[in-house]
Amino acid sequence: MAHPNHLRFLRRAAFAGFAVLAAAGSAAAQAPAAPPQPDRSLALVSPVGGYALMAIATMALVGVSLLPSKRGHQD
Amino acid sequence: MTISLIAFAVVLLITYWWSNAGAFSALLHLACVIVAGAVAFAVWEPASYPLLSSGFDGYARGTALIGTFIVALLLLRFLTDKLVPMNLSLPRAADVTVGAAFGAASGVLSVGMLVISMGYFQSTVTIGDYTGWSRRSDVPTAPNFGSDNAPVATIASITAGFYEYLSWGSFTPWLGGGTLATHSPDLVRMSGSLNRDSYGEGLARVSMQPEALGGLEFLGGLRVPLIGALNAPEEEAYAVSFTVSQDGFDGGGAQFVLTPSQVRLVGDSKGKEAATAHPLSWAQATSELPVGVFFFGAPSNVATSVPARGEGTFALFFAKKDMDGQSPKYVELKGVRYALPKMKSAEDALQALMGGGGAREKFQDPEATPIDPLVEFPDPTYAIGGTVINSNDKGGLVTDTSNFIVGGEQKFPRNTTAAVGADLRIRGFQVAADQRILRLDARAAAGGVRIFPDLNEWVRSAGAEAQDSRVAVIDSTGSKYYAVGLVEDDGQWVFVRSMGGRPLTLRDIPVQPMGSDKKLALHFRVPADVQIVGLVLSTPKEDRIVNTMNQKVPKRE
Repeated sequence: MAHPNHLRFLRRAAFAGFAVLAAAGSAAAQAPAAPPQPDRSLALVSPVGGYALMAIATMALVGVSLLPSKRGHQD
Repeated sequence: MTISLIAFAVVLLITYWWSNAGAFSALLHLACVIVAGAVAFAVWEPASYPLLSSGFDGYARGTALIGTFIVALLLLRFLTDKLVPMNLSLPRAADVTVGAAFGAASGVLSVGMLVISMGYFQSTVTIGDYTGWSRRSDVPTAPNFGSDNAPVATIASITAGFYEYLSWGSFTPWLGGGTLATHSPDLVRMSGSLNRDSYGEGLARVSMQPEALGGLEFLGGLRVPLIGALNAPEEEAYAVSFTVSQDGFDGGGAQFVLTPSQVRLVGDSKGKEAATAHPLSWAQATSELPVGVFFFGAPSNVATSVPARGEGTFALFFAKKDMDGQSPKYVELKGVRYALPKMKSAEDALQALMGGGGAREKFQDPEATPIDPLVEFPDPTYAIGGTVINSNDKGGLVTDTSNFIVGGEQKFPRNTTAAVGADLRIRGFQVAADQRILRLDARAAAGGVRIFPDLNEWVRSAGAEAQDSRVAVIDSTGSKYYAVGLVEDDGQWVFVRSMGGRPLTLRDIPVQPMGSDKKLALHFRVPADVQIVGLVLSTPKEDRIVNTMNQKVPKRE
């Protein structure tokens, strides 16, 4: 028997409810706990791709901004 | 100052160029710039959303904005130069002066568009010497935002202000019923640089796939402490709770990390500039607690999922007073804007909890069989099996600096005796120090894992739903740990596939004929000391436990 979808909602609502209870009940009365920190070996993203895109975007913008109009003069 | 000087130099160059070209050409170029900018802002979100679901997600919003602007400007310039080939004759002094004024306006708007776009590229918080708005240790109160007031931000502010004004008037969008100020308020603060102000000096992900977030709930009418201090007063607050799946995690699916800079409520402004609020505290599960409450009172405090778990659920708390009387309409999270569901009270949520008994949604297949003999916890130092791979010959595999596999796939000739030095040898799927690899013998055979059509009626009949289901092991608390990769060994070749952070689905498993000699091993990243109780196929609707286990994950030696 598959559990109906509303149980999924209940679980989430339960988390939210617990969270609110925890926030209201315990945090005011005691010193705040230090939050967990990300794992030190967590792989981060290299900034090189972003820098490269910034350079390309800058060159493209300057290029299109300096396109000559080559407009002739009216007589 | 360097970045600001470069920006001003580009503005001056454009000014000089159009001063020389004359007032009429400069005016036409300015008109093209204004229209191109309006087009770029108009299609920004729709153009960037498809890219957010790709591997290019970190650059999606920046590329969509500046790319559309440049392409539109190029097309408009081509059209105006073709349709208006002749110039107007003006006295030289007027031609140069008025041309310089139009050129300066074009330069400011163009460079402003560039600066705003650059703020949405995944890079570092500080670019050169420009930081702008970010979390700062010299700002004592949460969320600790401060600015270095770099002059380049002024150019971006003028541009954003100009388009906010336009989108209220003659450039109001036909569709959507909003303006730049109602849908993207505080644009300059976000682009420079709160959007990039992620964990690790901005090197954690600044974006995520929109579909990685689920279970969005919005709670109001709360009174909770928002300051992390003894006997802190309770304040009126909103809460947003959500669950992020592994697709949205950092570090190749290792953990979800979120700073207060990366999330905000956006108010329903009824046409005015929308108010925004960043979270001041949050609740989440930890390795020790089902729910803990923490405060964004220091720049180093970030929300982070429990290592190895395939999902993370968070509740973020916002001060109601920050919304200036506006009702929250959207929550923007890592650059993705979600419409908030109907507000519920905390009592509603608790009522639901009492009525539901906290039941966990799962489907226990009555035909589920125990598979404990098929489970092992190999030494994660070398945990591929079947072949020895030299890092100089890894083909399409992607590895980290320690030669652990973090992505890609490759087929290798089977060998188990090749002499490869320890520093060159590919180790296995990446694990953190306090985690183990659970290797599951998943060959298609009677009495084995029930993930194949011949062994599971639901997999046979559910079609695409089954093929899209994610393969995970589940622990005694209901936390899931998705498969991070597979190794298929047909006796001659060994195929290694890493999911690169995306959960493995049945569709990712090569066809396994029943009764063949092929070996298939699924690899799961699990924390030490948890009790694994089953193998599940996880769909958006439910978790189907297809096999049972009773395995305590040993500590890593």
